Amino acid sequence: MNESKNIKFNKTVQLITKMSLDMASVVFSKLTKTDAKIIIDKIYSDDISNISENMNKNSKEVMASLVNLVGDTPMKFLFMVPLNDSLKLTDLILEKKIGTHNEFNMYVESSVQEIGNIMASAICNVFVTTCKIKLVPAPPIVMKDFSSTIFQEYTFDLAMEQNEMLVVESHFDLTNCGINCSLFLLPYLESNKILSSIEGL
Amino acid sequence: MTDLIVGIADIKIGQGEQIIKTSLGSCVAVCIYSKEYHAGAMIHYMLPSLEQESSNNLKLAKYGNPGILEMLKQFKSKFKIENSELVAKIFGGAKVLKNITTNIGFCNEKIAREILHEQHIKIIASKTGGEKGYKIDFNLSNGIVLCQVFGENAAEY
Amino acid sequence: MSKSILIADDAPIIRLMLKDIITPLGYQIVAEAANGEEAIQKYKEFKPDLVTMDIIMPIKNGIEALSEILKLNPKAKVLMISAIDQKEYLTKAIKIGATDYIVKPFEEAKVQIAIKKALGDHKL
Repeated sequence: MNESKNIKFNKTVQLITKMSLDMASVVFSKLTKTDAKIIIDKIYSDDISNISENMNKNSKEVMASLVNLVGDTPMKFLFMVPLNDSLKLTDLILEKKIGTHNEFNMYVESSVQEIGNIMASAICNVFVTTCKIKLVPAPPIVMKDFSSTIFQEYTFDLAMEQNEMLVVESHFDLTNCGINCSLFLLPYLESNKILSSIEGL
Repeated sequence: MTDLIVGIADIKIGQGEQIIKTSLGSCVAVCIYSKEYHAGAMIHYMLPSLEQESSNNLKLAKYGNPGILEMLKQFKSKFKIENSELVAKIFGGAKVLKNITTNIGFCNEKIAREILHEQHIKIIASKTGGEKGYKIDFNLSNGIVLCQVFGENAAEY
Repeated sequence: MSKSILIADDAPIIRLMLKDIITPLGYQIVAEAANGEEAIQKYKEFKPDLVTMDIIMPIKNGIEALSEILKLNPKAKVLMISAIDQKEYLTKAIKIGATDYIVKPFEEAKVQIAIKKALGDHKL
């Protein structure tokens, strides 16, 4: 195991992060007309090698929405859904019978794109209101690939500059539809410092 | 025996029935193998060369140079062997995120070939480039690497 | 002749959903745009009665596109539809001259009411 310096993820920042993910749950449920609840699996910091080793253990074929949150406290947001489940998500959003969409066309890709957009926006909205900062999402990038490859490529610039990463790892199950999605929020180390030092938080 | 999973900027060494596994994008994995010991090592690195010493907390395996040399040093401290008795295979170096990692994959592959050539280690197989991710399983009982590129069938190298 | 609408959003699925919401009202979707720059070009070409405008889009965002469309035509009707629910953005859009601002995910009825109101048809 690679040694981690264990950068502290500020407790107040953790709380605001949880609130923002609750809001992301709400908007996701509204868009898909389901009752989905995001469950936070882990909030931690670790060595980049350990993090990607864990990602490699359970790598799946997914469609992903990669959204950079830009502003005073930059973060990365990553939403991933197993490839075949992205078809079901499209059916849910368009209120069609599950099984209607059966090929990966622009509507399926843009359903994942838009899920990323609204959830990332919801997260930004909570941070802006609570911390009085500027934070907005950039236009999402949609990818189809192995989840481990996507994670590595998306966090490449973070891993270039530092050997540790802060990770908020979550998932949600739409049990009625058998859909299982994963979500990562990755604040830059500097963003954690800035948020931790905001007065009144 | 448990599989060995390699993350980014890391090196793993194994032997016998073990399988070393990783996923790649623009990163490159170099696998070295000794038929004599049925042992091998894999490095998964993300950048071609360490430009300058910028911190005390260096991860040598982040870079092809000096990471590949570090992998050789670690392997040879466990198994008494000459470079000429080793073979190497190279994987990865794709251009997955077009607007972020530009030419890094190509440069990563280039440094692997340069260093292995300098070290007189024969490259007997490779699968590199493209625009999709790789999953590789390096079987140490026979040195075969099972490589799957996203969207394609797996193939043996 | 039915009133014309331009839909600007970088997500094809959102453009499809808006088309399905707007078409039953009897309005004509004359064009779609996938970014702010395209929205301005299509506005010049089609001169629609109303534009629905996303904010987060590549090349040019919806706030910039709103501003340029209103420079072309100060009476242009532009309805912002965005997942950004931040006072700064809401205020800026309205100050520049947006007709209304709907937060995503949107409800069909709210979009229909906002469009009819913008087009002066809300009593129908």
